[in-house]
Amino acid sequence: MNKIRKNYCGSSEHDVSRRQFLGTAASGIAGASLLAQNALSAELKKQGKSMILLWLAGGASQFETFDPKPGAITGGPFQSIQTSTPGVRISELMPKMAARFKDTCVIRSLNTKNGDHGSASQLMMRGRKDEASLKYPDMGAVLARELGKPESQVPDYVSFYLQSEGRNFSGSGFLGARFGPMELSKSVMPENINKPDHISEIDFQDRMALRNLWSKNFEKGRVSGTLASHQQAFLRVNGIMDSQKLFDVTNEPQKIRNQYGPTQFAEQVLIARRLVESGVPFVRVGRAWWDSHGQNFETHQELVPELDHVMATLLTDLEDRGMLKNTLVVTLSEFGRTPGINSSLGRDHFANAWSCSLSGCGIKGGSVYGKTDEKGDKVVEGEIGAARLFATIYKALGINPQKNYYVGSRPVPLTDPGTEPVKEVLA
Amino acid sequence: MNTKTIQYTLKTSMIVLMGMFFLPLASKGEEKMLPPETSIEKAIDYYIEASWKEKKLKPAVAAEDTVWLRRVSLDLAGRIPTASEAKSFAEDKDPAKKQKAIERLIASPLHLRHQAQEIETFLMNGTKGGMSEYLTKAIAENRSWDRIFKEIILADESDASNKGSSDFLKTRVKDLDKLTNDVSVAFFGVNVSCAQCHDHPLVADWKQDHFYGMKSFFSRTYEVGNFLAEKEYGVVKFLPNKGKEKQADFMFLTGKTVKPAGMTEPTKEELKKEKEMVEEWKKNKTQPPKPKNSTRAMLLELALSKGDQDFFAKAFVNQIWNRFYGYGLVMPLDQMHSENPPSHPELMNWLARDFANNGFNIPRLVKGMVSSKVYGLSSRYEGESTPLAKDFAMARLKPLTPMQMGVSLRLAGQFLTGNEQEKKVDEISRGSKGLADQFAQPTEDFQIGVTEALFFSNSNRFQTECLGEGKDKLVTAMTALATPEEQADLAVWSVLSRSATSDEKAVIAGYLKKHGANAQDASKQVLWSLMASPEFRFNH
Repeated sequence: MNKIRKNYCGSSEHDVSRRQFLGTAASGIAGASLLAQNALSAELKKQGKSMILLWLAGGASQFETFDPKPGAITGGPFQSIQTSTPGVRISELMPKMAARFKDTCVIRSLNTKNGDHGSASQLMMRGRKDEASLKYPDMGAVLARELGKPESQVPDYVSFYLQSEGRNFSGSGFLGARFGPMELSKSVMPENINKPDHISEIDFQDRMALRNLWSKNFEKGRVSGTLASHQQAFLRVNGIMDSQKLFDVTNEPQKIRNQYGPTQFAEQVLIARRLVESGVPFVRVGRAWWDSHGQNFETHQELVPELDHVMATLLTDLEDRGMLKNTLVVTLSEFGRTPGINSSLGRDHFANAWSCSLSGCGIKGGSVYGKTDEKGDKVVEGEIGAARLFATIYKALGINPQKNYYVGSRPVPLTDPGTEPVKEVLA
Repeated sequence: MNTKTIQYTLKTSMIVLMGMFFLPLASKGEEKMLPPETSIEKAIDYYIEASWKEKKLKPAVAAEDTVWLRRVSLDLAGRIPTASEAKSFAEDKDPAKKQKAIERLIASPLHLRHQAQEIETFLMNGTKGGMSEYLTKAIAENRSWDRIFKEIILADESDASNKGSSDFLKTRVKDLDKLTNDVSVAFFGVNVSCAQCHDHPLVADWKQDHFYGMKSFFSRTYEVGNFLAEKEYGVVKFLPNKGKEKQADFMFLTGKTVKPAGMTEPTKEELKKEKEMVEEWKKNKTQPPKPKNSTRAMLLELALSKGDQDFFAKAFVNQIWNRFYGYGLVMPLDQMHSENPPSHPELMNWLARDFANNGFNIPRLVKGMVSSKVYGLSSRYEGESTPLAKDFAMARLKPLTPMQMGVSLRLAGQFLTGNEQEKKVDEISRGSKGLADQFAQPTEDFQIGVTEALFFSNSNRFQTECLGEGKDKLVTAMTALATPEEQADLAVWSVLSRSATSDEKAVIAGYLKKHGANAQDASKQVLWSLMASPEFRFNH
C-alpha cells in the first residue's frame, strides 16, 4: 500500500508536470517566470516537432488504398502497383505515393473492433475509450500540450473540418480549453482572427495596453494558474491575429499552389504546411465522404487519386524545406471497409483488419507493418489496436507514451498502462 | 417472512474489514465538536481560525464592502451588482447591511435560477441533456436535498410536481457503468470507476465489490420508449481480476448490503410475457408499472439511513463549500475517502451533522456559508508567503461560470436606475444564454484559452451585446457626462462594481482625452478594457 501511495503523490515528475500544466505563476509574464519556463523547456523541448493528420472521415477502404487484394473475391476492380520499395504493392489509385514510398510506413494490421462512426472516431482520435467520468484529451490536445509553448504566438491545435459529416468528436477532455482545437468549420479562416473595422489599429493596441495595466494591478498579491492563463490568452491575441496570414493561401507562391492543386482539401493541406512551418504543433485536415456504403469503387476512384496527389506533394514539399524529419504525416480514419461487397456495390464499416499510414518524423520509411489474410478478412500478422498506434505516434514525435498527467491525484498515462510502441514502424 | 411488510433485510455484518476504513470519517473529533445550536457561520469561523492559530498563519484582511457585495451577488444570484446597488451598499451605514443583502439576494428570482443551474451543472457533469425543468421547480419550492435525491433516483413522474426528475437516469441508463459512477460522484462524492476493472489501486476503500455492488441497484432499470422501467429480478455478475466470476451483492459504499425479496429468475414463459408487455407499453406509450421491490428505493433507504448518510451529507456540504470558497474541504470533489481526509475534519463533521439535523435544508446551508468572516476575506494577500488554498486564509479567485459571464457582461453594459431595476435585471439575465455559450465551464485547474480573448477582441457579438449604444446603455450614459473624471467613475462602478482609485481615474480620463475625437468609441474602448480585465473575469 505504501509503495502505491508514494507513487501518486510523492513523485518529483508530478511537480514539474503540474507546474507546466498550470502555466506560469500570475506575476509570471515578466523575467522571473521566463527563466522558470526556460528550465521547463529542457523537459518540454521536442525540437520543433509537429504532426499533420489527414483524417479520412467516414472510413477509407484499405483495399482501394494501402492493402489491395487484386484477384481475390473481395478485391474489387482495381489492380495493385509496385512501390519504390521492392515487393511492396499498393493500390493503382495511388501511383504518386507508390513512387515516393521511401518516407512512408503502412500499417496493415489495425484491429480496433469498433465499427460505429461516433465512438470509433473518438477512439481513433483519443487512442482509448472515455471512462465513465473521465474524458480523455484527443491526440491534438496532447500534442498541443507536449509540443506547444505556453506563450506561443501561433495556435497549437488547428482542425479543419469544412464538411458537415462526422464532426464533434475531438476535444481536449480533462486538459481543458487551453489545449482545445481552433476549429475551422465554416471557412478556412479562423473565427475572430481579424481585427474588426470599427476600431483602428492604434486604438486596438491602446485599449489592449489599458487592459494589461488593469491586469498588472490586479495580479499584485494574487497567485493562480487560471489567472495566469487569462493573461497569457490576451498576450497571445496579437500573435494569433498575425498568424492570420498563414491561413491565407494567396500568400503562397503560385507555383506551390499549382503543385498542390485547386481542391479545397489541397488548399487546406497547404495551409497545414504553412502552419507547421510557423511552429504549429498539430494540424488536422478532415476530408469527408469516404463512407461508401454504395458505389464504393466510384467513390474511391474520385477520392483516392486526390489523396495520393496531395499527400505525395505534401511529403515532397516538406522534404524540400527540410521539414520532413520533424513533421509526422499520418492518414487515419475511424475504421476501414468490409472485404465483402454489398448489393449496392459498396463496402460497409469494418474495424477488424484495416490500414493507416505514417510518414516522415521518426518513421522507418519504405516499409509495411502487419499483414492481413488473402481476402483481407482478418489480421494474420502484427495485430495492433488504437492504443499501440498512439504509443507509436507519440514515440515517433519524441514523447514518452507512458508519461503521466494528473487528474487530481490520479496519474493518467498518455496511453493505457503498459502499451508498447511498435518498434518495427519506428526509425 | 412476509414479503409485503419486510421487503428485505439489512445485513450489517458484511465486509467488516471495509467498515473499519469508513469509521474515521465519522468518529474522530466527535467529542470536542461545537454544540449543534451554534450558527453555521460561527462554526466555520471557529474551526478555520483555530487552524490558522495552529499553523501560525496570518489571514488576509477583510474584503472591502463593495468587493464583498460583488462576491455574494455572483455567488447567490449569478450576476454582478448594478452600479447603483454597489454605490448604495457602499454608502449604507447599517451594521446589518450584509445580512440584509444576503436575504434580499436569496429572495430574488435570479437566485433560484442560479441555484438550479449550479446544481444542474454538477449533477449533469458534462453529460448531454438537462434537468432545469425539474430543478427550477424543486429549488423554487425549497425542497430539501434528500427529497431531491429521492425524486431523482425514484424517477417517478406520475406525480406532476416531479416532472423532469427522471432525466438524470434517462440520460445515462444506456450506460449502466456511467450511471453507477455518476450517482456515486454526484450524491456521495466518490468516484468508483477505477474499481470497475480492478480493486482501486490507490484507495483501500474501493473494491470491485463496491462498484458492482452499486451497479446492482441500477441493473434492473431499463428504458421503454420514453419511460423508465424496473424489473423484479436480475443480479450483476462480474469477473474479478483474481478468481472466478462472482455475483455482486447489492452493496452500498459503506459495505452494507441488502437482499431484495423474491430473487428468483423468471421462467421462459414469464420472459416471453414480459417481452410482450414491453412491446405493448412501447406501442401505447404508457408508463410501465412500478415494481413491487424497487432496488433503487433500497439504495435510497441504505444511503439515507442513520449512520450511513455521512457520504450523502458530506458530499453536498463539500460541493457547496467548493462553490463559495473556491476549493473543497476535500479535494478533488469526487475523492471523498479515508485516504484523502478533509483539510478540516471537525468542521466537515460539524457541517454534515448540522445539514442532516436540519432536514438537508439547502438555503439554510447556503446562507450560513456566505455569512462567515472567512467568506468575506480579501483575495489579495499582502503577507510574505501566500497561504495554501486549503488554509482558507484568503479568498480564492473563482473564474466566472458561463452564465455568470453572460449575465454580468450584459449587465455591465447597461445603465440602470430607479425602481424598474429588478425587472430589467431579470430580463437581461433571461436573454444571456447565447452569450454565455461562448465561454467554457470552469473545471479544477481551469485554463482560459486564446479563443476567449479573440472573442473579446474581435467578435461582433461582444461589441453588440456588451457595448451597444442607446437608451439604458452605459456607453451612451457615459458619453453624456460632463467630465472625463465623472465618466471614469461611472465606468468603474458599472463594470467593476466599485469606486475608481484616483490613479485609475487619471489613467481613464487621460485615455478619453487622448482618444476624444470620437467620444463614443473612446468610451467603448475603456469599457472593453475593464470587461476584459481579470478583475471582471473572476469572482475575487
